[in-house]
Amino acid sequence: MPLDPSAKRLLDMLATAGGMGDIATMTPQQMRDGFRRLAQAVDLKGVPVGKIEDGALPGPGGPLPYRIYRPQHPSAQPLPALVFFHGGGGVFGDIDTHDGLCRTLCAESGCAVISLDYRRAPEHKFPAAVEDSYAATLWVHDHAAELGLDARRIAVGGDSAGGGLAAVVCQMALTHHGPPLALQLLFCPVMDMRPGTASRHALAKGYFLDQATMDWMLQHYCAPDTDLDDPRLSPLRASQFSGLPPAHIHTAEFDPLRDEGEAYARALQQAGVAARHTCHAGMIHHFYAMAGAIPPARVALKAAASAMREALLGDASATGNREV
Amino acid sequence: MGTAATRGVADVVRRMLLERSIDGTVTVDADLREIGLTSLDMVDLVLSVECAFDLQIPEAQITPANFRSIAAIDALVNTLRS
Repeated sequence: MPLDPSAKRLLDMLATAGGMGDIATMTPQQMRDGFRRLAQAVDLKGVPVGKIEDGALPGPGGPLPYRIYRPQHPSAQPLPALVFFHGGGGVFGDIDTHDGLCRTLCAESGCAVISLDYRRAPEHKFPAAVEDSYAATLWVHDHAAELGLDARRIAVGGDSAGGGLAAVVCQMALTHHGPPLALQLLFCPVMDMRPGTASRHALAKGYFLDQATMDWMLQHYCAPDTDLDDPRLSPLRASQFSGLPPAHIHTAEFDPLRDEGEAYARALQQAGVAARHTCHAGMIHHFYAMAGAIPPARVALKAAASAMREALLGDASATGNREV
Repeated sequence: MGTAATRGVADVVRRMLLERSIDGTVTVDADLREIGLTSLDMVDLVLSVECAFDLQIPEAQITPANFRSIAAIDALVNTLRS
């Protein structure tokens, strides 16, 4: 289908306004500020949840701030939970910029959401964010009881670069014999740093996430000599997929990352993993976090949250990759 | 004092300025970009004005000039509502 009219209108508005500015000369701080301004404009506001608390957990490089959202209407007690990693190329984005998305996932699923403020580049280059994300997942699992969460029903999820982090956390849990994870929920994830997919070529410019911006992010995220085939950067290039947790992968029709998300779903399916792929017609990258300006995103998010709830409330012994 | 619409537009603008920790005292003719609103804030401004007045601004009218100041937005809103 064609580009959704509300998404098109937003793209046109951003183009008229000059977008985030000239990416070539943009500093990471300018990008962070700009992204926060964008979120203020387009994020879904005022979604009611039961309780929100900010805390910090011990990370490999120091305390890691997090925010936990608890639903007004819990799906179960103790609560199933989603550990969430925000997007922003590992350089920008934060807990606040994804507040509307996390609130919606919490409210619509009846599950807790723990949004992590992992270390960002260029101050902390790869693999700092990966290490933080994995450490936070272990911590949530190990402290589930005191957090009022169900250790058998912990999902990880994220969007864009954060979606890549969630996939990597699942792979690390498998290879390091870590905790069983009940689900990986990926929104428009970055899955391959050397993709060469049709969507990256066809949608390289003018659809919110430009190739120039992705080049900029990668340049800040990694040291220059980094191996882009490292599965912690490019989870699609991992050697093993069997045994990974079930996956819900959401891609967008007009997102340059569309094909790599779909390829990951296919790789998981071929390895016998229960992977569900939904390509959201007419949508652009980041639509799920711009529901204030793109109304169909609210419907899509609600469905994604319901599916997560069903997956987490299913038989826990059938959904984990290893038993507790 | 201005029209009811002017006061509504001014309220939207002042709320945005406060959210961004910018001094909210602003004259109707002040250039909002010079005061400190960025190009991305202009998107927020368009969406907020649409929400406040329950109207959809035609794309052709979404121009920097139409959102330069409270007075400019007020003129746009009045045109669209008449």
